[in-house]
Parts: sequence; structure tokens; C-alpha cells
Amino acid sequence: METSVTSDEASAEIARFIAAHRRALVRLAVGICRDASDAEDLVQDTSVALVRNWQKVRNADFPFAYVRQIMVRTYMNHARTTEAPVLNASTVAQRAPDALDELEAIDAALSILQGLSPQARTVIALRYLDDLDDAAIAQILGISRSTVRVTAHRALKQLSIMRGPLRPRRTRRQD
Amino acid sequence: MLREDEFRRAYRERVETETDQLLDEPTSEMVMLREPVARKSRRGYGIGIAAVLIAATGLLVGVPRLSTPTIDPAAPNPDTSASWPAAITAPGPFMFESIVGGELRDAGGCLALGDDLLVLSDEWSWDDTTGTLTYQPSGREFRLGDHVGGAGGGGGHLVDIQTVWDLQVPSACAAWEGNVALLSYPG
Repeated sequence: METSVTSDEASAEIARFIAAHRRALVRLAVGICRDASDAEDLVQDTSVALVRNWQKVRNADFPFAYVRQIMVRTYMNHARTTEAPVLNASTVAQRAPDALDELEAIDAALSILQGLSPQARTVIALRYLDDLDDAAIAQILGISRSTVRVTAHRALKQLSIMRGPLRPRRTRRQD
Repeated sequence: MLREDEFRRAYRERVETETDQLLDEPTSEMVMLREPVARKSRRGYGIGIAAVLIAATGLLVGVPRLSTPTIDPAAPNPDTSASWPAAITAPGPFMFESIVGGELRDAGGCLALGDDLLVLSDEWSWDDTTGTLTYQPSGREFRLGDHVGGAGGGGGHLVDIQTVWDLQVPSACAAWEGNVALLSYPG
């Protein structure tokens, strides 16, 4: 059942909500944007939208999920008009080192991540930071599950990441 | 090839570190912002406002939103009415958006929000014949004594605001020594 509150109560509720979820929002923004300044802007824009839509947020079944969706869609709307062209697969392939050790491979992957499309970065962030499955990511982005799956698959390929079961750990040879 | 679990772990660590850095920044700014300094830099001033807000509300990350430098301060008929205070307006959005609120009142001839002199975005109108403050996009009206809350620029010292924005303040409150609250829209 929906309830409404006075402006004083709403201000207090909003302050409590953001205090409780501030880190999670900043973290997701950092994961999506991969740029501190852009992440700050995104959190700010999300917070403003939260204030404007507080009644909907507070009456949502899962308020944080609602705000997370606001953040993602705010980012996607903004990215559609402002993002620079993303790296294409061939460019990425040239940048990705072939046989580096694990640390270098991680650095390379995180570097390449910045050049992926906004949608790919968002899928990666929601999957690997917030541990959401394809269905939940699809709902947030307003796209199909298959699009999420394909986007993730392509992104992982560009990042030179191998999905699937863990490979067996190397064991020392017993002499 | 990097394994998925390796990537997940490294990605999370990197994001957590960057998040820590971002969340730490306003804290360090907060201390210096409490000092009454006149900032010439718009960005510096924005950070100042942001940190003050964080100190007051703990809400946002500390991101200045730079507004256009071409401010068109309009004080709608500041001295035409003896019975109603004057309103100060400036084009929004303000540099930093956060939550402000308080009682709409007359502070010696100008509109005030609680203890702060009120500076409104240009989406507001003040009818000094009826004493009605209207947020034009929604038509929502407020009168003296009403609680007005919403998102805005937070605040700052009037002297600093004037320095940065070249804001023209009506004579009625030109000597205001306190802070101002910048209100973009009601919440």
C-alpha cells in the first residue's frame, strides 16, 4: 500500500536512505563509468532523480533496486549522447597482450574495459559487482536476456576472459 | 586468457579502491570549507559548497556541478512593495544539487529559507503583490510561513556567492552577513 509523508519526513528518509546506500551507489557508478569524475556526476544525477521520485522509491518493493535502475538508465541515456566512439574488436585485440602473466593480464583487461561500450560496461558492473543474473540485468537495462548474454559474451571475449569452470590449480611436483 | 574468477576479484578490488578514494575526498575538503574563504575559482567554490553539504547532510559524493557563468540575477521588484520581501533569482541548475529546506520567511526585506537568505532558480516566480512564491513548472505555490524543501545548491556565504556569481542582491538585504540557500526546485 502506498503511503505519503510530509516534506520534513521525506527529507529525513532520503537522508537516511542515501547514507545507507551511498557506498553501494558510488561503487556501482565507479564500476560503470570507470572514471572518477563521471562516477561523481552519475551519483549526483541519481541523487537528484531520487529526490524527485522519492515517493516512488519509498513505495517500491525494493527501493535500492529501484534507485539502481535509475542510476543505470540515467547513465545509459547520458552515454547515448556523449560517449566517445568505443574501441572496436580489432583495436582491442591489438591492445590485448597475448601471453602475459596474471597481473599484466588483469591490468590489460581493466584497461580495455574502459574502452568498451557503455552497455557492455554496465553489464559487466552489474554482473561482477552486484552479482546480478542476466534476467535482472535485462530488467534494469530494459533489454532482452539474450542481448545481455551476447553483450557479456562479447565483452568477456574482448577482455580475454575465459568463462566456465575454474581450471585446476597447478600443483607443485613432489620431488 | 584470464579466468573469470580472477577478473571478478581484480575488478572488485580495483573498484573498491577507487570508491574509497572518492568517498575520502569530501572528508578532506570538509575541514577547509568551514573556513570563511573567498574563492575565486568556480570549481573550487563548487567543491566548497559540496563539502559543506556533505558536512550537513552526508548525502552526496562531493561533486561540483558547474553552472553557466552567465548569471542573470533578477531581483523581481525588490523595492516596489513595502509589505512583502524581495526574492533573488539566478538561473539554475545550481552548482551542486542537494536537499535544502526550511520555513519561508521574511529576513529584513528579502525572502529567506530558515536562517538562510533564499536564492531561487529562474523557474521560480515571486509575486510581491500577493506574497506568493510559485514554482512555475508545476504551479506549486508557497507563502510565508510554509515549509519549502527541495533540491538546490545547498548554500554558502553570501559574500562568496556574490564574488563567484556576480549576484546582484536587492538593497533590502545587501548587508546580509549570513549564508544563502540556493533552491532549484521543490521536493
